[in-house]
Amino acid sequence: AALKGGLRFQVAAALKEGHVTPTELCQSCLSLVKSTKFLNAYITIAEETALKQAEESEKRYKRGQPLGVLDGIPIAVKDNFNTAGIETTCASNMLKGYISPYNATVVQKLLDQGAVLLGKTNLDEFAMGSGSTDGVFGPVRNPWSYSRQYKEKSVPKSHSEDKESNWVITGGSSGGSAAAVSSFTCFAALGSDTGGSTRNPAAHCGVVGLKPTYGLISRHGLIPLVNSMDVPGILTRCVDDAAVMLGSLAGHDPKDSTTVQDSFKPFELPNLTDVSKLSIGIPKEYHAPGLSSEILALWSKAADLFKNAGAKVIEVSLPHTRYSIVCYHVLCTAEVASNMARFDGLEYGHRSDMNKSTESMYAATRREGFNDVVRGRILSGNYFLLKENYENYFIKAQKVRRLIANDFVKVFRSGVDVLLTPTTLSDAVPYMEFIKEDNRTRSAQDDILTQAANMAGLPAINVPTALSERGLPVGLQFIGRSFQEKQLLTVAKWFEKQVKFPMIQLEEVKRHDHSVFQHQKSASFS
Amino acid sequence: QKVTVEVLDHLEHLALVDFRDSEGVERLQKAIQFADQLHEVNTDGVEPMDSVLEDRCLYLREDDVTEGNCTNELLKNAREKVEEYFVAPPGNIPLPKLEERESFLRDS
Repeated sequence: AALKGGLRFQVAAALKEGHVTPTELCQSCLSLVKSTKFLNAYITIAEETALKQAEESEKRYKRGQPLGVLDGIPIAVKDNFNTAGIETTCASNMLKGYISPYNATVVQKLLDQGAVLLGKTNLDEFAMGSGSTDGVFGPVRNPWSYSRQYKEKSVPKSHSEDKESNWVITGGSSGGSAAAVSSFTCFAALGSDTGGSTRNPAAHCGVVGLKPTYGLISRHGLIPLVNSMDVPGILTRCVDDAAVMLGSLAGHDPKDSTTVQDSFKPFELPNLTDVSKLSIGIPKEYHAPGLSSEILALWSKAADLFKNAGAKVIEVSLPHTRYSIVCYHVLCTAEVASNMARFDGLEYGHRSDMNKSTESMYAATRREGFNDVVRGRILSGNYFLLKENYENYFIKAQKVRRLIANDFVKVFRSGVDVLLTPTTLSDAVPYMEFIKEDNRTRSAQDDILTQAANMAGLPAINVPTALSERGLPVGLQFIGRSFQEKQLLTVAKWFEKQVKFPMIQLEEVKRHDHSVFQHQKSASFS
Repeated sequence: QKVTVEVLDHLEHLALVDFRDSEGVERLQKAIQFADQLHEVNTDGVEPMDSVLEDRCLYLREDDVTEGNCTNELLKNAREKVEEYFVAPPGNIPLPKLEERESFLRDS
């Protein structure tokens, strides 16, 4: 039962009162990681160091001096964050065996608060993708594929066939982190979000996925994809927990000069009861082609929920929404072309045996180390950056970016507090169906509702809303004003309370339950 | 309009990544087609946006040495090294021309 608890009120309290010890919690989580191995959510399990961290935490609790709410809490980190002494692979052959010499700032901050790092989670190679299917360690399976809710709704052709071929994707690229949180193996996880990579898998896995404002959380140590859009993402089982994580991570970092210098004050979320002063914007362009009728209905129901509670709900327009994906495509590949140039085999990572010349060694190393998706983006990016194309593609995209950002400015200036949109076009698709289309096509389709927030640098959050007809999670997205995470999360928390998203019913978790823990309320209601 | 073999070859040199096969070239063609949609947007008088934080000053810290002396740690991850040097194969040898390379583009 403790496994299912949220951070803020449940497990943290249990640790403080001694109902459960950090070591017991850690061991239980590690054990669950092992029994859910078929999800392929973790690339590296840092068992020894995690247990050591848990031991240290236990000593602190015994002295009555825990470091804070996060002390002793098991967490997982996406494998594109540097973690000292632990392999960091980005799910690529290029970095297999690479042991980071340092911790990313966000990792260090969590460790300084006493969090227990269970391991590194699986992703699409170098965070390029929207399914968590394109990494060298194989695809991540959505835990909901094995839930009672999904199994009840699916009609397998034969008993053996369903477990193996019916499983659905987690979404991506932070699929491993989302699956890890969703299956209770950890209480919170770090992801990254460049085009929707935290919110998309959060929606498909039924967890809260927060993309903070660009510049709020340090990117130092996050292996970069698109420097002007990347942010560390937070995945938790409830909005309150996301606020706790945010409180531990946000703030200026001298090691990342793109973090703003404003002082950040961690906050507790109020229990909003009166939404009459709230203005919710519904951007009509988010009724995108391909949006499932189910999600459309859910979105409409959510808008009504706010309206009936007294909030002002108005339709707004973000006219350049549909160009966001194209704009992203150019800017992303261009920045990728630059960022991936560091992988040459000399200082770290894979190195080819080819040694005829520096250039041929670089070329062979990169040929061997990168998958087709990465290589494709590098080549496209270089094309758009060619002298003859620079103005027409790269600069053009930067201009369109301003138009997209301005769309949001205009809407927020008109009095809207928060925008409400769908997060994904549909619920999670089966893996066998997903791989029929190539990575670029899929990314273009799946990022359509999440990408613009990255373009404009705005905070956005996925809140699990309901189960689809297939028994799979569907989430809705709230987009807020720059650096107004408190308002955004307050609204998200109110909404979460109204919808009462059901808890996943997994065999493996049930089997673990009776060992250590007693009371603990479920994380899905506060 | 299709991308010429010269440009493809040029890209392979710049990126130090090869197209591997016709699928790679197809991929690029599709990427360009996709990006061409940008030209539908009127951007007259619009300034390019480098960063969403353009209205702020980038943080500059004091020019003080606060860390370093981690040679051993950094060398640990390199495959080929001699003393405190990373070892590279000889430089100044350009990649062979398209005709002499084993690139799939050669027969295009």
